Amino acid sequence: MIIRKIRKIAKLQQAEKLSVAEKLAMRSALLDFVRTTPGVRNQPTGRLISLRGLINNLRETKFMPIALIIALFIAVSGGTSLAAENSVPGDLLYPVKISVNEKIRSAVNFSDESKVEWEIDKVARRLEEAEKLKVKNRLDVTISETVKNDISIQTKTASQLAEKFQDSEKSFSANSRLEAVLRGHAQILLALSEKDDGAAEIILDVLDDTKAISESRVEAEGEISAKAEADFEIAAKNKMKAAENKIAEVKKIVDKNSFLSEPVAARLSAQLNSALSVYNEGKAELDLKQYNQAFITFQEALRLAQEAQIIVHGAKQLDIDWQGKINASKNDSNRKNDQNDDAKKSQDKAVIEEKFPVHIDALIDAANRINTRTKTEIKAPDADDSDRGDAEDKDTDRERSRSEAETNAEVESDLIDIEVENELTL
Amino acid sequence: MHLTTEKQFVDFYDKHADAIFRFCYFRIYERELAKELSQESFCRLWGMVAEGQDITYPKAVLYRIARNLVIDYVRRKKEASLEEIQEVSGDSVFKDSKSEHIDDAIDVSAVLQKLREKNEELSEPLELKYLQGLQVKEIAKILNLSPNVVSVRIHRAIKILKGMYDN
Repeated sequence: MIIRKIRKIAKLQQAEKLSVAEKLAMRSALLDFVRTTPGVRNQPTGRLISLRGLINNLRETKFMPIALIIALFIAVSGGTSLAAENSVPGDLLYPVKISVNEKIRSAVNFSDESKVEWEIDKVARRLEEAEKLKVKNRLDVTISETVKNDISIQTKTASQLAEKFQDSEKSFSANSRLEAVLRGHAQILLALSEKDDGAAEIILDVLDDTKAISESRVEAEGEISAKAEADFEIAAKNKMKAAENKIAEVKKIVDKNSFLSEPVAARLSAQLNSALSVYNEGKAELDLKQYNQAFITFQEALRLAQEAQIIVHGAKQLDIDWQGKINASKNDSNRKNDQNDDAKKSQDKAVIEEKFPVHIDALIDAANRINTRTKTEIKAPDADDSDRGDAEDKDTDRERSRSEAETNAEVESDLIDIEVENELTL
Repeated sequence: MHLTTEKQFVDFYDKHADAIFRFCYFRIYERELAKELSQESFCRLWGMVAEGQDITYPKAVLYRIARNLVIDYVRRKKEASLEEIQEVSGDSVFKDSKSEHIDDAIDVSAVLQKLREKNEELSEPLELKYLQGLQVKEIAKILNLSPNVVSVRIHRAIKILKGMYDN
């Protein structure tokens, strides 16, 4: 009898379903996601799937006209939209990526948290574009300037949205992820700029932003520390779980990778070990019921793991020099015995520290070195003048980017308004 | 069923979108959020496919992802009181149904909710079976248990539920 009653509930629950418009919007966003994350065995078709089935489902509903317009739009623009996803600034389809694909994805983020998450994803997308351009050797002065501005505007949009959270916990978490994105990508760009400057200006800008965001994070940490411990008990435990999952997830990828060079893999393992030791600190704080501090510490562990994940992803997506180095390292290691391995490990460690500085100031120094080196090479005949010139150039550049930042802040606040309007319209 | 192509994945979405939405909705009672969690579940499932993971039971994996997302969300949010949940669920779930069915359903729904609060380990397999219409084999995959344990838990849940309902 009780089972019959439960089945009745199930029947009543069946009435609760997605409307056709909701289903279509989700479907479209999902398709967009599928196409930006193509599977290893996936052969994207670039056209709407199951159109006939979909129309049959829609036939009886009042949403038929709206749904058909959306379906038609997807059917017509599907291929273009797919192609646009891989475009970079300077490509013909790049405006489609920005004005169509990203707007659609913005429209299906419903909560404030997911909106901020998406804005942070967009920062990552801008940085990935810079990396792709660098790999393709297409970062000329004009494009470099555009890319730098785009990254800067997007970073400020994401950071300001994160600041708008009333809840300091959410704001802190969002800023922390943004910091991880910036730091991770700055390291990839640095690795890509080993041979020439190319992206040095962009990196310096990104690191400036990273430093600012890192400072607001430290401020937020202070605010959180000042709050009542009991308020953070659940939050700290959840953050612990999140950090644990992220570390495990990245560790799994690093462990089974076949695309990372040994130094990069070792660097990532070292970073994951740091994340793990920070995580253990958090656990000790949790045991002592210092919930605020534990929350902050787990967030740090999560950030370290997120940063490592970005580097892994970058190494996988970009067919950069690392790939070549892997093969060389693998061949080498096949020939070496265990004793030699120890020597190689310490040699690797030195290479890692040189190539992948972790601290923000070390990153800035590295970017400055690349920037200065290239300018010195260009003005090589008069070295003294060149040094002075470099300093002046750098000062001018920093001033210019500061004034741009001010303009960007104004433009950016307009952009948020436009985006909100667009979402309401959609 | 293996998900390897975009078409298979979209067909899979068409088939399970409503069910997974309901699964989220009747745990968090926030429509917009339920939509978001459903979409996130599908995205994560595709993420696994894209990573090259061999997913033999995508439906079970999808429910497992959705379940974890819901658990994460519920942990973050302070638990709503039973009264609040009843109020919300009573309003939105049974609005178009006949009154005697509504009373009946609300009674059982309240008892189910109590069981969920008291012993989620038992209520979860029961709900997956009778509210979501999943098979024991699928539930076992979602909860990472053996089918035998799932059957035992469902049996015990029904027994407890009967007692609670009679009282």
